[in-house]
Amino acid sequence: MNLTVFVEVVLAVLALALVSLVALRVELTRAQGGKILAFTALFILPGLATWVGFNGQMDRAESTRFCLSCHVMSDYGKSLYVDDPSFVPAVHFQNRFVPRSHACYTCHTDYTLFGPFHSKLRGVRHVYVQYFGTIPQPDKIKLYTPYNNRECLHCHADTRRFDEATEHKKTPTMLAEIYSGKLSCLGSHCHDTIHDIKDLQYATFWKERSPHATPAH
Amino acid sequence: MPRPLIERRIRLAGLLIGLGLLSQLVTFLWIHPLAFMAFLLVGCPLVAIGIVVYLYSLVATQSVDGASSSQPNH
Repeated sequence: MNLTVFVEVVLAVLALALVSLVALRVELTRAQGGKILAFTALFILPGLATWVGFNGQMDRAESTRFCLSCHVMSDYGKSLYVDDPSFVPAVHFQNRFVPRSHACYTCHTDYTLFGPFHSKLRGVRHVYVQYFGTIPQPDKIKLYTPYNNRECLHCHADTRRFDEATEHKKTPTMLAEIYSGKLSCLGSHCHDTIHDIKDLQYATFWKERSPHATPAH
Repeated sequence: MPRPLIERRIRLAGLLIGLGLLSQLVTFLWIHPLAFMAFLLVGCPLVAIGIVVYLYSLVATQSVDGASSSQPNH
């Protein structure tokens, strides 16, 4: 149990204990001290516990485990383990260019719950479709909007390796076009092998070493 | 003897908040979109309604007290 979850649980349990005390011994609230206890138990602590819990839920919702918890996403999770350097997400995941525990969210910052209001509504719709609708085939799932270069540039922008790469200087204006978003990182025959889940049946997979294993000395 | 109205409302508020906190606690055990939705659509509203009931019980009692104290004594 990590510290955030521990704090969430302690706050909620403490609030629950005090709420139960006030609800079961409501005559306590007739005294001055009881009124303060009731205000703490029925207003301050539940509000605080809910706020901390909400932040924890948002944090957990950014995790790779959360994204891959729906069956339809499992092939996308598998694609992170493809043993082929042309698969852009796999290279980022396996080399820890993105944190493995938050791999999806690092590159899809505006997807569903984390984007603007419309994106949040889409996130709710995804949950509805998962349980009550017709789930599409994994290879039919598409992004709602073309992938934004911003997601690549928030790590790669202004790095020497990126700016000086010969692939990014094929024309004098190429780098500027990448930065301005006129030229897509993914759609310019440069980095066009993304999750490609249709090809997974032919792929070989990298095996992740146990995250707790220590390097040999 | 029946309990005063404010105490019944406080008890109701406690029940709602308690149920909300319990459902929130259950969602912490599970990393899943359904847990997120349960937290958002069940836990949070129950706690919020409970807090509103509690605050309303305070305000309603004060306004009743205020109204009765403003009545002339006969």
